[in-house]
Amino acid sequence: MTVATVAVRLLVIIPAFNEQEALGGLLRELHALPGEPGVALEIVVVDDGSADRTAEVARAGGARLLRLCRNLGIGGAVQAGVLLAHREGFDFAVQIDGDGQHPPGELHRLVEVARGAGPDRGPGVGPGVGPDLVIGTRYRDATGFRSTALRRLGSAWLRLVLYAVTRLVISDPTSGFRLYGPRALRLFAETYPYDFPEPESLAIARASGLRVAEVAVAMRERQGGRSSISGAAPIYYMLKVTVAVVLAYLRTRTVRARGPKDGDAAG
Amino acid sequence: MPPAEEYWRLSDGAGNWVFAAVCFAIALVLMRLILRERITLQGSMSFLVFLALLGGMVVFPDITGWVAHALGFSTLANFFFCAAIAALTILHLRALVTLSRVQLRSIALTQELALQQEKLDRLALQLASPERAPPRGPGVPPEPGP
Repeated sequence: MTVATVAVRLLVIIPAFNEQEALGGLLRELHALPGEPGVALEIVVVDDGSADRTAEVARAGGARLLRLCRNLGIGGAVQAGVLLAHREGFDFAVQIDGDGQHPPGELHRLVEVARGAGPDRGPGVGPGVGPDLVIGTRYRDATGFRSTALRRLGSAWLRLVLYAVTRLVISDPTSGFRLYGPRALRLFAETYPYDFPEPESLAIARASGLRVAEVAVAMRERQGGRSSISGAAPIYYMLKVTVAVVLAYLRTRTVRARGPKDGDAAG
Repeated sequence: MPPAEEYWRLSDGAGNWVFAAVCFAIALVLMRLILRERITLQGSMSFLVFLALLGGMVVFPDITGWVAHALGFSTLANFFFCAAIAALTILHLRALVTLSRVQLRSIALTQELALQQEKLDRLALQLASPERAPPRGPGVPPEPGP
């Protein structure tokens, strides 16, 4: 299988909220990546209103820095990076969590699939035809870190909801390790969910006719900081995301059917 | 058993005026908040109109009773509670729409501010030491090939 040799610009988006512990190491790993032929890589850290030294660590690590003046949540932070990628004409953007859960060494797998050179993992996707959105899944391979049983149960429920609503088969709907192609960048620069956005954004992508694929990646435990989903938050998360997936899919389908209109682009 | 009309007729005692005074006091608090620029007049108009209507209902109980009877309420209290709940629901929904709109705009502004700030930082860096500046600036497309 031949990989296209056209040079592409790739932006790595790292949303970070109080991630001073893990961010430095993550940036060093990214800078140490062997250059992929035909890929020009840039890194942007989106500091989501951190109270610690996240911004300083990002600057010291040689990354571009988008500093949000208040905490918007993961969705708002990712969308800021997507806006940057879209405005500056990047071909692809990859989202990597600032806690170090996503090993930069796995990034090439997503890029290969996006460039149409990876295994066929989605409808309309195959050799030479890259998907618009590539999800790195931790559940297709037995290697690497696997989340807790409760999280896997939640993920299974969301898989079911996504399939029932959108007919999309995704093994890891909550994965934040994902690559956006040009069409996805255009779509998500306009509208992106702000609260627990991953499953909802899949529903939006599906309703918008984007090609979604997934590729097995190894993940690891967070390298520092604390998860935002703890305590009673998982219950709220499941309820909110279930409703959000249904509504996002219906709304996007409706908006598509009647054509774009002012005010419909709100996330 | 008294006739139905008796149920929806309020007494002419001081109770009506006490309620009207409460409405007036709330309206005064609102006016004070507006004067101190804690809330806007534009956003508070619907609330002020609602308070005026409530006050009017107790100042003119006969008219209110006639309206309540025409709408099928046998007691004025029921009519009052239904009207108040409906009005408060509408006010709450209106506030929710406004709040959501403001929240979305605030998110968009926060993102825009960060993007512009980053652009400014890079320009400043470029001006300070051109040789240290990154090869591509924000908004600058890659250089075309030969």
